[in-house]
Amino acid sequence: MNTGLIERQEQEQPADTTPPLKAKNRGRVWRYYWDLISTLVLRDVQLRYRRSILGILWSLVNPLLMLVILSFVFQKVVPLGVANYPAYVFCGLIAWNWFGASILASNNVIMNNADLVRKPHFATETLVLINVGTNLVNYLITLPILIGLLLVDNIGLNWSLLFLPLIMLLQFILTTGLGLLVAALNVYFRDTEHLVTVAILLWFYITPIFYKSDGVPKEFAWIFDINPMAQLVAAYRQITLGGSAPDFLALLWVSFLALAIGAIGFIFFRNVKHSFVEEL
Amino acid sequence: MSSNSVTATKNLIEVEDLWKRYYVTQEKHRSLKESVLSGFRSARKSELVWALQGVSFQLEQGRTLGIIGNNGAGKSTLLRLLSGLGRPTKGRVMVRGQLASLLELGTGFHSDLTGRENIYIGGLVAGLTRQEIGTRIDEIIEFSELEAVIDTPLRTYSSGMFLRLAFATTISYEANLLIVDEALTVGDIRFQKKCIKRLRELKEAGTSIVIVSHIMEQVQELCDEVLWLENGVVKLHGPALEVVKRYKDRAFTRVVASPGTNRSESEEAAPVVEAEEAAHPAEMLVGNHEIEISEVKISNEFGSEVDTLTSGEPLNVEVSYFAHRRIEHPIFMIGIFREDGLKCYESSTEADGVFVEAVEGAGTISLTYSALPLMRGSYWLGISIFDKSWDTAFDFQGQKAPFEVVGAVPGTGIFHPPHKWHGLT
Repeated sequence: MNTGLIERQEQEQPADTTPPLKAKNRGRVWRYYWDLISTLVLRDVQLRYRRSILGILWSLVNPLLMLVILSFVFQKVVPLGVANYPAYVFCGLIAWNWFGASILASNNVIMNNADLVRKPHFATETLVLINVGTNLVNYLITLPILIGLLLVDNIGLNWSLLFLPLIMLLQFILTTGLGLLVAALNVYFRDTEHLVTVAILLWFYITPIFYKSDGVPKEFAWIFDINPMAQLVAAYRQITLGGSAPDFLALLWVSFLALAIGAIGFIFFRNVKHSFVEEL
Repeated sequence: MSSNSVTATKNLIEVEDLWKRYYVTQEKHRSLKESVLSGFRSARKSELVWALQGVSFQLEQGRTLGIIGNNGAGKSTLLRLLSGLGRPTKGRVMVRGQLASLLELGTGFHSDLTGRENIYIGGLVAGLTRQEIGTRIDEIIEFSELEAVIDTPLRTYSSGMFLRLAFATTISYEANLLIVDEALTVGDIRFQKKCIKRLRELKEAGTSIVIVSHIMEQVQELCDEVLWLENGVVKLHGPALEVVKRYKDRAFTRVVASPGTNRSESEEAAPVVEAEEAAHPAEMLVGNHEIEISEVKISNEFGSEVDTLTSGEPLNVEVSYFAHRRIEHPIFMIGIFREDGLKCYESSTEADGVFVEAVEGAGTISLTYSALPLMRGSYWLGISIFDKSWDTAFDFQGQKAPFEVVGAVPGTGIFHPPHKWHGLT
């Protein structure tokens, strides 16, 4: 969130002039948005498993099951010959889950929070951030399992893990940007949801989550080169399994894409959000 | 940052030529045959409804505005637009400063979270930081009177408890404009009174309030100014006492001025204050005052003046008047009206076969009800004086004689005749 957003609103929309209470103070604005997003993320995480017996452990069930199935299929049934396959798959899988689940949930983030969207002066963008944040919490919950797998495989923990926050930040920006686009579009064209569902499925397959991209013929290599998720997953693997610094050139490309998509998402969202209320 | 508002003074609200249109769509049920015949073309009929038609007004910081009018006059639409919900079809709404709206109480609340957690969510959604909520949470809980259950999930609350929590949370935001719908009329009476008291405190502290209400006492009590809407147009905007009086009088005129004078439902009422006179049968409303009603006294069977009556008790009414010239055979008319304008009964000297010879100068006329078995509630006496042919109204009075009926009378409706059940063993 930046404060410029509020000022712009003030110029364009006389009816929506008011920033959050006492927003004159810039430090307070940051503090406010941090409080808002963190509290609502916690609320979502809390509510997701409230009144269930396993509670938050359910966040582990899905990726663990996927891990078991993929390991069985690609180690025993159709062996791919990838070293440390469980750690390899899991590293890509949890990063993908964070991304995929966030984008899919973005579809309905506006419709599901109609009461908040109707609230005057509520920054609707935060709903997408909260959604990405909630899935980030899920990612963080599954991270210890990845570390466990690394230890079991005797790969151990390397200094290169220090790059993790950087890669996560890039993924966060990329996911939020796309999420904003999807969330806004789906308010006007409900087709978006169906399109996105298919697109995410296809995207999963063209991202080397459960296979290695090495064996791909040269003429198709570009698919992985331009795919930011492929680059991000590769970077995660480099710093965990590889134990060395990520490919900075590739990350530069991802940064460019993430910032571009992030900016487009924010600008597009901000331009259409004023009429959300009437579309709900 | 908007530089063009430099000249504008300290107006908190500026509404300029505001129009709002809704599409009311009616899904028509048709048979397959009809659908085929019409080529499956739009089975829906859209109707344009103008909820607001060129409303303009301003409100200064610190002033309190009441919005009154019949159902469908556009009050809620105006309130929603002021709250920033929806956009005007045409015109401009400008609200300066921080606004808190009681329109959508409990936004962001979740039934699985506890009352305390929901206070935080509600506050954050309204624009407060956690720290700011923390400093006032004790006060909020105390006001809501939910200390005992504040840490249990919201789904265990009754609707009244929910409202108390939501109200307490919303009014703690220290906004400089508070938008209040009739939400206040929900909940138990004691808490309602407490809310009104709190609103008055906020008002004294400089908060502006915009309130929509059907309860004229509430409006008169809380508001400095009143905006009277009719058919989406401002009928009258002015000091609270005066507008409420005129509004009540209008209800009265409509009741009294029987056939032929029912012009008050004017379709072409202009949005300016002055036009109000023309739209109304003004001489009917005010009377020509050749005879004036100077006082209306209500007393009980022992002759002491009262404003409260136990249901079923007798009541004396004494009307003092002053006739500026001698008038032959005037007709005195009296009616009992419920607070909302409903006519409970009406009669006149003529109808009762009482012949008034003539009046001149000061005089009184009185009548006695041997029993008034009214339901509990607020009522007022509508008293009017006409000439013998009902052509001229001399005076109307509705406000001078309000009274309360109390007593433990069960049931609903207007009156409670003494009764007994028989035939049961």
